[in-house]
Amino acid sequence: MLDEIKKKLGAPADLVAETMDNGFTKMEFCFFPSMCDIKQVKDGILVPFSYRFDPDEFKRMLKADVCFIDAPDPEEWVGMLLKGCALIKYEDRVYSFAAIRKMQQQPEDTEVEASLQGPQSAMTEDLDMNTYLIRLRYNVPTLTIEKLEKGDVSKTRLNILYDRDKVDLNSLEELKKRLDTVHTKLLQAAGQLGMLLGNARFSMFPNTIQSERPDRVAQFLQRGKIAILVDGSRFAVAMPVRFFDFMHAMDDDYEPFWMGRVIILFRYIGMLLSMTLPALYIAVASYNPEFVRVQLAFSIDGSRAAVPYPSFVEVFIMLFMIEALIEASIRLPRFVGSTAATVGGLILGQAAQQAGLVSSIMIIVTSVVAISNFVIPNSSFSYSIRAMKYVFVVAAIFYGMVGVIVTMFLIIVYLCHLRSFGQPYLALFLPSDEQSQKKSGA
Amino acid sequence: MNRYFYYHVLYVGMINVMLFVPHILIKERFDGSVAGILASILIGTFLSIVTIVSMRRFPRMGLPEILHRHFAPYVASPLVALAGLSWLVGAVLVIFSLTQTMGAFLNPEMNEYLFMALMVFAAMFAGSRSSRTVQFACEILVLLSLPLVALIMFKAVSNRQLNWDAIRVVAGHFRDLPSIKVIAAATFFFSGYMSLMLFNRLNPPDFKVRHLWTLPLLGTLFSLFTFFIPIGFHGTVAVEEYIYLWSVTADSMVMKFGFIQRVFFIFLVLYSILSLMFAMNTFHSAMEFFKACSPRYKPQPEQVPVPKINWILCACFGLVAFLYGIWANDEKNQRVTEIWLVCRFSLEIVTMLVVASLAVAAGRKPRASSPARAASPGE
Repeated sequence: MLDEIKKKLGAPADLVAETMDNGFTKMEFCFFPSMCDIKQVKDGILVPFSYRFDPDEFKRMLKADVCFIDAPDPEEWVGMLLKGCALIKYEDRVYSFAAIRKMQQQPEDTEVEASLQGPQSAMTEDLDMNTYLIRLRYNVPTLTIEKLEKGDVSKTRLNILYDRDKVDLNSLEELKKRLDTVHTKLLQAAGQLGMLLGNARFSMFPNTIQSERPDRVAQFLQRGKIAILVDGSRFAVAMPVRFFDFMHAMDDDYEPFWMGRVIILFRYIGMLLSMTLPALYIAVASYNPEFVRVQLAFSIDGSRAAVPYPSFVEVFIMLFMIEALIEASIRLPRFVGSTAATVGGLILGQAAQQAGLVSSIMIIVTSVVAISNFVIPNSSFSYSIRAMKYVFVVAAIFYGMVGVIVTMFLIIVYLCHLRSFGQPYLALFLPSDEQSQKKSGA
Repeated sequence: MNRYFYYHVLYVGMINVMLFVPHILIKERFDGSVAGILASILIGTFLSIVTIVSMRRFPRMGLPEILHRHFAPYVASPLVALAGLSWLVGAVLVIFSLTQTMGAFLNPEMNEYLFMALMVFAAMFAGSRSSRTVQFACEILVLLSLPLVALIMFKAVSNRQLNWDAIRVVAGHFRDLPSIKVIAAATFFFSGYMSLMLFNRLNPPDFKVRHLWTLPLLGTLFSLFTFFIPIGFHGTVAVEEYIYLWSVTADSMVMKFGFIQRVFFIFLVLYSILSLMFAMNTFHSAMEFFKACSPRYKPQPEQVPVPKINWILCACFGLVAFLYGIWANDEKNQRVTEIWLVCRFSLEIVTMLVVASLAVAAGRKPRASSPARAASPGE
């Protein structure tokens, strides 16, 4: 066995492959110490084989212990080793011992979807840990888990989770169809899978939702959605999604009802502002100053007095600045990040306006756009909204206020047109509808 | 599913402003408009309720399917095409007058055709979606525009400049006999139910429009509001001076607080949304009707991705709208609108007769499960 494995792997330096001899009998033994949990290997193989050796007990252990799996097929050996199993050959039979090293032993803290008073634990980058976290929160016998591997090189493990009583069968079928078409070499993140599944190239809005919160995934499952856990990613991908899912934060469910509704309302207002405000600025400054109150029109025009170019140039300058600033503060190491924010803040603040490059109202517009964009709880959706505002800006450049209105109309129709795994993306469902739908379906 | 029906009733009840209905009514305010409105309340209610009740006999079927089921293709296809054409003309008229209104009030310096291109594109894109999409979009858009409607209504009724005496004077002329034009125009307030001709396809088999009593109520509200408020603002005589009557009326109102001072701009936003919605629905209905001219066509309310034929048909409609825009001016447009209103009125009657008689025929057949249902009022 050892020679064959060495031949296939090219005898890497980190592979331990030895024939062990305890004085009574011999055993071939190989594993990657870097990928295995040494303690488990020691307790499970080395101790019983060396100073506690008893041939009968050892045999019984190999047969009965669920950790030891028969591995007669030489083709499988390398794959098992690479996953972190230890292989032993004892009395001409090969067994694999799963002693995979786990990085995570306990749930992490939420980082992306923070919550004030909700559960603070988030998923980890370990598939089994994540599955545990979800089973813990959604503890019903109907929770179904299907296993899958994707990625030609990475062989990433996936778990598909759904409640088989509540799941929409059409969506499940469509998901499986799409999963069959997914071909990639390296599958490293949940978002990547979401993109591959969701026809992202043709859609301006995300078709799947990612979440790092087990409580959120449990809620999704309870609502009949399907979740996919990807090994090595702390995010679960859930589908089918609706527009409203992206605007929903878990805190809304944990706070008093009306407080939650008010916050949601603010969030929608924020989303609208972040999408349309730059375009409205262009429309009011260059096309329809009469649209707003006279005093406001004057102050907008007054603040633009020193600016030597049309309003849309100004908008593009400032939007570029703010996008660059946001991008920089995400990517930069934390030590440098604050510097970027300070410098950017200085420029976006007084200096640009005093230099006559942009109007002071435009600075307010920019900050409102940035801040209200942060209000959106889901980051992939907030990317979409960030991109959407340029559509509005372009429409406003050519058509002014009418352009903004028509674009709004088109985006609503487009959102209604989208389907996420067969389910409508933007549509209101009232409880009575769902009942009648079920009735007519039955 | 019920609410989807009422969204259509709501926006069709309001879109009349873009089709010069207030202007037509106001022109004859001293000879027959009031009586016409009163008559149209009766006629409109009768037409809509009889049609709706008859449609219950045909679950999940639109007008094309009903016609194809009972008539030979050479009878059914032209009828379906005619219905489609009537929708299409409505769309073209609304797109034209939206372009004119926006051009006149918002961007006077802009090239008219550039403007029209935007509207046509929006209607094309929206109309070519699937029926379900159109219905979802209708819901969202109606819900978004309702606060604006409420605001304008509130502003109008609570306005101190509103002269109730003028309204009373005109209301006193209810004894004069109305012309057919006035009745045709006034029944348009009730035309929302016609959307059932297409969207009945989406309804579940046991679907029943509930709360039918709201239909006359809503229609009456819309008609009285559209007719009397401008009179109250402009006086009994000056009111006939304006073609874009409601735009001018909305401009008579002021909001003391807020970013926007003139209610007129709220009105413009509202009516551009409503017109686009109307254009979307009419383009879509026309498209579906034309597609259904062939008896072999199978309706598919949910189609993703959008098939090419949708794009092609809607592009043709867009072209028609564009050509009409080149040919028409305000005067011609008004005349065409009046003709269209009368044609639409007669088509509605024909539709009602056809659907009701087919429903009765279907009810008489022995295999009909519940004969009690066929005995609907007015048959």
